[in-house]
Amino acid sequence: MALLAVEQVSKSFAGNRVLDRVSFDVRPGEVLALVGENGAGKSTVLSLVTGLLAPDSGRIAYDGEPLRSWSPHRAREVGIGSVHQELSLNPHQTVAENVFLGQWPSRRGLILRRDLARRARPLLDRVGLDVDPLTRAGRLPLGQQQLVELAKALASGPRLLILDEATSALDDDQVRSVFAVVDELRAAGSSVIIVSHRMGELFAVSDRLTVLKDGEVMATRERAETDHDDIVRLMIGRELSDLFPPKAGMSGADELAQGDEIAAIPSEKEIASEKAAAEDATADSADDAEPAHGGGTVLRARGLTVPGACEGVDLDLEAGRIIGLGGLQGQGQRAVLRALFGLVRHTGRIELDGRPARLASPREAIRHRIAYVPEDRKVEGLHVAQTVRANLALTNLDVVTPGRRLLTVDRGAEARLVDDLVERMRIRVTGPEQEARRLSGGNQQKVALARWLPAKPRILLLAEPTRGIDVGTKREIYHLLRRLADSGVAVLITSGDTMELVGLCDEVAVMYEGAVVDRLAGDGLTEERLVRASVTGTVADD
Amino acid sequence: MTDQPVTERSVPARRAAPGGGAGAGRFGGFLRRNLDVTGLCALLVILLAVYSQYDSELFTPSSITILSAQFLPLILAAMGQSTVMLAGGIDLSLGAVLALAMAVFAVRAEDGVAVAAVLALAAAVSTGVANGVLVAYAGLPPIIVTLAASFLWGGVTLVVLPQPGGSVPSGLVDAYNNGWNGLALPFVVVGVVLLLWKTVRTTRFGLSLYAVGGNEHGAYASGIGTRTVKIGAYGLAGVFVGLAGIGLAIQTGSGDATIGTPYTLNSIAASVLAGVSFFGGVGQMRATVLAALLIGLLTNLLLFTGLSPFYQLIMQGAVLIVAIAVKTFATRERTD
Amino acid sequence: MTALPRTAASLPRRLTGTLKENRAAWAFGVLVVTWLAAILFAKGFDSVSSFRYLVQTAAFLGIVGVGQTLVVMMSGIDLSVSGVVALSAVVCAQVASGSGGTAGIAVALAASVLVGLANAAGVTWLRVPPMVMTLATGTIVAGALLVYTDGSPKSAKVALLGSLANDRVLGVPLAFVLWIGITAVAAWLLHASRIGRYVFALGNGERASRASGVPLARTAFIAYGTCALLAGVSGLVLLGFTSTSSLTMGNPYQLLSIASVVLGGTSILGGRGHVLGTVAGALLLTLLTALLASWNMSEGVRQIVLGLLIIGLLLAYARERRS
Repeated sequence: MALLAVEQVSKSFAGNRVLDRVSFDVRPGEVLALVGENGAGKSTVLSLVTGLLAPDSGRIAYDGEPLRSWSPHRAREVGIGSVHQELSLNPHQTVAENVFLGQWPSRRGLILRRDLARRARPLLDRVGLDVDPLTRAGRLPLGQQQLVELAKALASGPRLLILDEATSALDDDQVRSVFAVVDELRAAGSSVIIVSHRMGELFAVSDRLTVLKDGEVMATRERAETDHDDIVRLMIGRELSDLFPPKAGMSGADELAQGDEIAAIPSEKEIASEKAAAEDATADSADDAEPAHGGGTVLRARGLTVPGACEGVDLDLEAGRIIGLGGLQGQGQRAVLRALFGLVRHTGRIELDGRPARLASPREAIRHRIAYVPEDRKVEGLHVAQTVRANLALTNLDVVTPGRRLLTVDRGAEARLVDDLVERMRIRVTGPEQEARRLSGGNQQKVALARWLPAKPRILLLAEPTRGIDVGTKREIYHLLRRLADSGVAVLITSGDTMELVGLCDEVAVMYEGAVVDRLAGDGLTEERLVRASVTGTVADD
Repeated sequence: MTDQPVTERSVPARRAAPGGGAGAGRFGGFLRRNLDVTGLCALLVILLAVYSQYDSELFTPSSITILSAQFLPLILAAMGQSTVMLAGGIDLSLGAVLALAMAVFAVRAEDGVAVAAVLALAAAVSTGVANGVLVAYAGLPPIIVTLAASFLWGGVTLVVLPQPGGSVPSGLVDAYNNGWNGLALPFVVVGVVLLLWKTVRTTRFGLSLYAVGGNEHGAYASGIGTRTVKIGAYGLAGVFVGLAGIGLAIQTGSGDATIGTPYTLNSIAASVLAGVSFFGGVGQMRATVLAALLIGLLTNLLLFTGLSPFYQLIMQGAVLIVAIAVKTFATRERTD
Repeated sequence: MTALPRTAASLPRRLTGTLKENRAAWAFGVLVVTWLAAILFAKGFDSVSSFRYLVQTAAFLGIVGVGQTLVVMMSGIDLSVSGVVALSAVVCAQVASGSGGTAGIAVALAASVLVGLANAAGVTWLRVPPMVMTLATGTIVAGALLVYTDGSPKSAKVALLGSLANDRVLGVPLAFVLWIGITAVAAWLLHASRIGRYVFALGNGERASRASGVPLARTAFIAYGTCALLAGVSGLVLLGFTSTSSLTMGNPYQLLSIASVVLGGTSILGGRGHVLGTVAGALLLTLLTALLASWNMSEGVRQIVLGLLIIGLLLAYARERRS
């Protein structure tokens, strides 16, 4: 008998049906992967199971009993533990206090710090976390915080563990310890539901995969009877090829396109023709395989230092090239981007077009036509409570207040700008007045990117450009970035996704403990070398 | 104030710090963890040194008794405010509730001090619970609820005591202000209340209070009854504020419906000075006590310096701004 | 795939949607209903003169409320308005008695704006939380007034202010006209200008605003400066109305201005609302106060009822959406 049975469950938000008669089950001792694009309904269905939401119709049974008067509290009582992408830790309390959050073991009503720490130790060991249980949770890097979250889920001895994008902020080592825990649970007869955008992980650990698309279950497959392509086809309803666009100098375009047009996400047809052109170009230029350089150095940073995060970083951004910052999580990649956008105080020399520049605030960076798309869309990238229109207009007030002196915003110009951007970027919205928080992650990211485009940035900084984004949108964003580069933009991204760095970037600088330890380009840019340099912190020579 | 500062989370791995201060030492770590308390202690020492220049009898028992009697209401009020702020709330009706407790006590004190005290406390706690229920269940921001509630409780106070009056038995007033068998009663009260807080702090409720203030959604998702915790926080604050009102009534010997107002602002000032975060989840009660003491001493000191009392308000405001600005800059590295 | 055309939603649906979303409209609805009820069931609310008197007295609160709206919209709060109202009236009376009315008005307004700029400087550069910063400046202003007047402020008749507060054009009180004019300018500033976009952005998240290139300092200086200026204007009109100044004359406006903003449907957390709602909020509060006064209740009971009414109204339409 199934441990958890979800039967014909539907759920709507404000008239939008996000789940439509969804059914699946989880057997004891089984790992079930829930896959689907962003907005397919995975998080919603899991929120129903953990008691954060209640279904409109249908039935959820746990251990044969239908769920009644369900709440996170009840769910935890009956042995459902969960780890979400969004952290539920209290950054100001200690790791130990967080591990037992809400169910602190007490002696005669009193909870003793030392006692908590002692009890937390074995749980932390289990998830491979070697930190002092009395550290404040907020002091840990994101990845470790997520492991604390896992330890917390384990604290109640769960019979069903839910991992909702729980590995998104983890490096490979940490992912391995999570999987060790999953295997351990499975061996002990407990069940796990796992959601991840990293398909490789799902195939490595799950027994069955249930595919959701637009709120409906497309299929449930045994792992042995399916493969990557099959699942992706079910997820997006079509074949997906050419995840990554051709690299610089391979696109067939000899010169950088310098159009006045705002870049747009290319259509299927365009992607296909670009690919053909690139193949021709590779055939033509097989002799001089030298990776082409772009249109000259736009930004030169020397000795860039952010106290406590990175030190002595040298970086050259060239028009037409996409540079990546790789390495394990939290090696200072983020600080480099934030320094270049004037968000953190830094020292070192920065030259723009050969002239020394001071980037002391985002406003100055923007004046130099630098754009930044942060990893944290909800806090820094967008005003999520505001409309798509307001978000797109905010960074383009110069465009929508003609004559500048007259400070009134021209509603007509604003509407045209917004419509144009929504169309170019293929942003799925019900209208320009939709609030940004109602969009899926992928569409939010498109808005966060689109808002910079009318100002024609010369340098584009992106932190984790596709984290938590479905594969279809990922592909669109990759092609857009390449198009932007081809039109003369210098692009710098950070990413924890090795495949992304290798597939998209022209050059990857590997960071380790705040410094650049290796630079990989051309044929030298392979996943294997990248991983080795990231882990060892030394130049990866063969 | 909608976006919580994602404090440490935004700082990348500490280990990335080149030549990081791994050997900073235990003491340094202790200092850093208790920056607020140590800083306030240092300030307090300086202030006392200056103070003793003007008042050579500062450290005599009678002087300590009188001063502690004078500061008790603010200390307790600040503790109440801190309790609410730790849970992520704020109480703008604190002054009104303090005056209410004071009025109830002063009106009933002649019929028996104990009964009056219980009534006053009950009144304060029930206003706190009412505030808490509105915050927890109505989905109204605490600042607005308590602002509106301050009208309400202010009105109730006026009904209880339309004109300043009531009377507290003179024996009690004397014992409180001048010591009881050489014992500074207010001092003892603060000690007892701090001990009470310390105990609460180590119960599930205490930890939940910090958890709700630090990350409300996370606390809810972890099965903590966030509503109950909020109501509890406001209720507990009611206990502190009620005691403050009783203390004020005993100190002055009567009740006055209008006397509470400045306590709202001063309690917030003391809490902020003590490092209690406006966003909840961060702060220590002993720092609050020290900060309240500091504000009280400073006010007195200004009187001693012979400055026209008219300048008092100016100094108070200026000191508050400077203190908080300095504090912000001292701790900026941690929050940038 | 792409955006639906803007006109897709049918008109009736959009109207009900607007009503549901638009708390400012709610505020006006409640105001109208309350007023009708007052006319029908209470004595003395059915005459033109009572109407006139109400809008005239509401203007004092309303002008402060408009300024407060600007600040609240960017997630700030200005608790120094009470001090500034008194400051402006007291300073004007003092200066006017020596150097004439015009000088008095000019000095009073300049002093008011100065307080606003100090607030903005503290909030943006010293990073003092708005609530604490404005409390502190309010306290300083109160103290400074004590020192300045030696505890006994003067009275003064300034002709210009007197007529501004008491005269009428075509039967409409000038104070009300002034208030509506100020509201119109504020509505442009907040809802049609660039600055308004910055204010709303700040109200919806400071970090995202910073990363979007919003000029944080400039926006704060404009908002707090305007708020203080309007509190100063209100103080002047009050001075014209009563011909005397007092150190405590601003006190009611601290809480009532915030209440009028919130009852007008603006979120106290910022970034949501409309300045027109504050007009309804100020009228509503003035009307309620007048109603309670007409019922011969004791001061205490009056406060209790007002408190309960405000809480009730907030519950009815000012709840924050839970995230």
